[in-house]
Amino acid sequence: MRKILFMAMQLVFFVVLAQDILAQKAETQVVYTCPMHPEVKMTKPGNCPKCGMTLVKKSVKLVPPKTVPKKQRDPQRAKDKLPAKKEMKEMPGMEEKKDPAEKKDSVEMKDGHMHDHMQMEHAKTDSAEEVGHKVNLTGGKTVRYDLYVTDTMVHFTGKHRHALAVNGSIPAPPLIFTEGDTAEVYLHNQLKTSTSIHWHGVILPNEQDGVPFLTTSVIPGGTTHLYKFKIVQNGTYWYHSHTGLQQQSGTYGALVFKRREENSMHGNGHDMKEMSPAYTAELPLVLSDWTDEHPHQVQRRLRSANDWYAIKKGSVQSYAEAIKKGHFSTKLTNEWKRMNAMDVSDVYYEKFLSNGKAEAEAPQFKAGDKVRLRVVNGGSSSYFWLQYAGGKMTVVANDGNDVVPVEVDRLIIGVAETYDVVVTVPDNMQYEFRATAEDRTGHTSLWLGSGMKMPAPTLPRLLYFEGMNMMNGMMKMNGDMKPMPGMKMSLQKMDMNTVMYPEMAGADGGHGSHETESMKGMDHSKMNSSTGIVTLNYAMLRSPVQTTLPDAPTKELHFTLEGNMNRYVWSINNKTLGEWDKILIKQGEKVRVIMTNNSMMRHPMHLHGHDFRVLGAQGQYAPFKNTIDIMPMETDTLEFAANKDGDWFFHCHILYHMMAGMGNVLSYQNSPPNPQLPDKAKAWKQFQRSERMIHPSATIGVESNGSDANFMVAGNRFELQGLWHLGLTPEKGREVEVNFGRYLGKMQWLFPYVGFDYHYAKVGDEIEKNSFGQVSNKNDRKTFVVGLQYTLPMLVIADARVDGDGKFRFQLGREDIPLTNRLRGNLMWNTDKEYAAGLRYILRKWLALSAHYDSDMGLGGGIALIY
Amino acid sequence: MKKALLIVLVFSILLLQKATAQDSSFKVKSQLSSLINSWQLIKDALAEGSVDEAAFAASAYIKIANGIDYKLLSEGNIHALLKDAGAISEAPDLKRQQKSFEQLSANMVTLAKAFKLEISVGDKNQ
Repeated sequence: MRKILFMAMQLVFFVVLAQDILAQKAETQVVYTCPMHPEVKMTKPGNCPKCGMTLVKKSVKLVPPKTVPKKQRDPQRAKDKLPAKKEMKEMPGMEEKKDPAEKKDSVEMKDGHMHDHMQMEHAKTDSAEEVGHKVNLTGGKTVRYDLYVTDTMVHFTGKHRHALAVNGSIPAPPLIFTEGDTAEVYLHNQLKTSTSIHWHGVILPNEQDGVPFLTTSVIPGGTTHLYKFKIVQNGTYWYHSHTGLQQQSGTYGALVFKRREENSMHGNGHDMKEMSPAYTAELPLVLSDWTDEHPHQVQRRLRSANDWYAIKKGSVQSYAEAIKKGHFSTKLTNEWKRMNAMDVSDVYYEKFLSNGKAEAEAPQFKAGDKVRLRVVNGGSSSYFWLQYAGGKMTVVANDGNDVVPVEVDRLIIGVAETYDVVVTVPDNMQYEFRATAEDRTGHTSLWLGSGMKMPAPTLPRLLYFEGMNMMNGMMKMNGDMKPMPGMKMSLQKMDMNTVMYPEMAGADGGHGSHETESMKGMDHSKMNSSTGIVTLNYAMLRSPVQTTLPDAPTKELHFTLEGNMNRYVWSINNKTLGEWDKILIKQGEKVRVIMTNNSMMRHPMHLHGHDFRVLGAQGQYAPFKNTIDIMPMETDTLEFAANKDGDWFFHCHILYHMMAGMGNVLSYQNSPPNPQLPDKAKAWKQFQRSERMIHPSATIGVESNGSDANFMVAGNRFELQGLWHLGLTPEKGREVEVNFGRYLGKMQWLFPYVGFDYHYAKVGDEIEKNSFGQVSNKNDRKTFVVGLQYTLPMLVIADARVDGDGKFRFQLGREDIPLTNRLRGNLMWNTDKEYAAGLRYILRKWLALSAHYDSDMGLGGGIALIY
Repeated sequence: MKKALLIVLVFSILLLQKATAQDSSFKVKSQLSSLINSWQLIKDALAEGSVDEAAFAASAYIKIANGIDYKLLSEGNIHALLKDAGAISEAPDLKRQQKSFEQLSANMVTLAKAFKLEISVGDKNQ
C-alpha cells in the first residue's frame, strides 16, 4: 500500500516537474546543497547526508532535461534483468568465447528461472523468512541447466589473462531451484583438461558430490556429465570446481534454493512475525578474488617461501620499518621465535570482484526498498569484511540456514561461507555494499540504487607490528600456540586481530571516501565513531528452531589444525591428506568434532554433504553450518547426526591450504558401492596423489666474480636442495652440492639429508685445516655427505654433516633477512673457514640486484634471477 | 560376447538401483515410524494433562526429527514439524501446547498418508 502511495507521489512529482520544465524552460530552481559537497542537491532543507552539515539554499538554472545515462535509461527493463547476467555480458575480453555458450544457455535454460529471483517480490512472500508451517510431500518439478565450461580470456587488471568461464561468464550463472525440485545439471566440459562441480553445502547422494576420485567420476575434457539430485533444502549455497586449483580461475557461482510456499505459510504462530524483516527484492552477490598469476604459480611461490606477495601488499615488516615504528624488539622476538612476518592472508590479489566486477551496480532500487543480498564468498583464499553505507545490515541466514535476524554494522565472511543479509535503501541515492579483503589490500563494491554515491567507510591498513607483538605473546618457543591463561577462545567471539584494526583503536576515523579525502577530519563526528561498532560473531547466530540431535552413541574426533609458514605445509593432527587414512564413522551415531587451531592463520573448515551444529552460545538453538571459520587458538565443537553414506571430504577451504594437505575424509562404514567409482581403492590413491604437489623453485645469481645458485624441489615433507658456486677462475673455486632429505616434526625444523658434494679450488701447496683440526679437503672434494639441518631461533639454519672422507663440517647461515621492504641480507659461516655475506635488492618478482663477498670468490656484484 | 557383458552390466546396475531404492524407502519408514511413536508420546502426555511431560516428549521428538536425513524428509518439512514441537516444548501452559499440537498432528497425518504409515489421531484418550 505504502509503495503504491509512494509511486503515486513520484508520479505527481514528475508530472509537476515536467509541466514546470515545459512552461518555463530556462527558469531557475531552488535546491539545497552542502557547502562542502557540491554534488549534494536536495529538494528540501536538511542536513548533508555525507557530513551532516546544514544544507544551504541555492538557485540553479534549469537546463533542458539531459539524456539519462545509458544504463539508467530504461529502469523498468533493468529491473527485470539479472544484473549479474548483464554485467557478465559487459565483461571485457570475453566477446569471442561468449557467443556460442550464451546462445545455448538461453535456449536450454528456463528463462523464467534466470529472471524471477531478481523481480521485486511482493511483501507477502517475506514471511518466507520464518520457519514454515505445513509439510508438503508432493514431488517438485525437474529443472534442467546446461553448463559449458570453457577457456576464456579476461582483463580484470588491464592485462589479458587466461581464465575459466561457465556459460561465458565469471562468476558462473546463479542456478535457481525450489525445495522439492529435481536438479538436472549437464556439465559440458569444453576444456582440454578434466573438470568437476562440487555443490557446496548441498545435501545430496554421495556420488553427486562432485569430488573427482573421492565421490564422482572424473569428467575429462570434451565430455558431458549429468548431475542429478533432489533439492531438499532452502537457502543460499554455491557451486565450484573441485579439480585442482580451477576454482581460482573462475569456476564458481551461486545456488539459490527457494522455499516452498506451503512450508512458509503462517499458521496461528503470529509470534514469529515481528522477528522477520520483510524484504522487497533479492539479489545474489558472489564475491571473489582475482590474481593475474596462474594459480599453480601462486601455490609454488607460497611453497618456496618467496615474499614477493608481502612486498606487493606492503606487509614485509622489515627491520627498517620496525625501527621506524619503534618495534625493533618486537621484530627481534618474532624472529627469535622462528616466525616469518605475520599476515592475515597468504596471496596478493590484484582485484576483488562482486558478481565479476570490481564495482557492480544495481540501479533499480529505490528509496525504501529492502534488499536481501545472498552473499557467497567464492574467493579462493580471501576473507571479506562486509559493510553497508545505508545503515545496519540484518543477518537472516548463514550457510543456507536461517538464523534469528540480528542487526550488525559489519561482519566477516569466511572463504566459502554464505550470508544472507537484508539492507534498506534509505533514499534515492547509490549506497555502497562494500567487501574489503581481510588484509585490506583492496575492496569491491555493489552499489544499490541510483543517484549520488554514498560510500561505505574505508577500512584503514592493518597495524602489522601490533599483530606481531600479539603473536609473539601467544607463541611458545616450540612453535605451539598458547592461549592466554583462563581464556577459552571460540566462535570468533574474541578477535585477536582487533589489535591490528586502526578503526577500533580510534587511531583513524575509519572513514574516507574517494571524493572527500579533504573531509576526513570532519567526518569523525558523523560516521562510525570507533566505539559502538557491532561486529557479528558466531555466538550471535541462533537457529529459529531447536537443533538438538538424537541421543545416540557419540564418536568423538579431535582435530588440531597445524601449519608451517616457512614451508607452507598445512595439516590436521600433523598429517596431510596423503598421510591420513579414511576416518570411519557409522550410520546412526552422532559424530562430534572438537577442533583446535594451533596454527597462526584462520581456517574455513568445510564438511561436504552435511550440516553440523556449532555448539556453544545458543544451547538447544545452536546454528547449523557447513563451513566454520576457526581463528588461531580457538577451539570449536561441532556435531552432526551420521545419517548418510559414502565418503565425505573435510578440509580447509582456503584453496592453497587444501592443496598443501589440509584435509581428511570421513567415511561411512558399510556404504553401498559407488557406481561412479568402480575401483575404489585405486581411486582413493589417485585422490590422495592429486593433492600432493611438487614445487620447484630456484635463484640463480650472475655476478662479476662468478655465479651462485640455489634450487629446490619441495613436497610436503621431502626436499631436494642443490646449489652451485662457480668462480670465474679455478682459483676462485667451484662447488656443486645436491642434498635430498625429509623434514621431521610438525614445525619442520629438523631436516636430515644425504647428498653429494663436489668442491674444487686451485690453490698453492699450503695445507689448510678446518676448525676441527682435520686437514681440509675442500680444494679437491668429490664425496657423499650425510647431515642434519636444524632451524635455530632467528631463522638461522645450522647444518652439521660428515662426508665420505670422514671430514666434519658445521655451518650456520641465514637467508633473506628483511632489512627494508625490498632489501634482503644473508650471512654464512662454516668450519671449513668459509664465509659469505650478501645483499639483494628485489626489483621484480623474478629479478634482483645482488652483491656479495665470500671467502672463495671475493667481492662481486650482479643480478639474481628468481624462479 | 561384449554385448552379453553389457547386458549383464546394465541389468546389474538396474538391480542395484532398485535395491538401494528399496533400502531408502525402508529407511524412511523406520525413521518416520519412530517419529510417529514419539508424537504419540506427546499426545499421551497432553491427554494426561501434564505440561512438563508433554514438553519433555516434544524435546525427544525434536531430537528424532533432527536426526532425519533431509534426503528422506526435506529441510522445509522438518522445520515445519520442529516449529510446532518447539512451541510445545516451551509453552507455559497446556492450552498453548494443545494448540501447537493440533498443527503438528495435521502435519503428521499428511506425512503418514504420504508414506502409507499407520497413525491414530482419534481423540479416544481425551
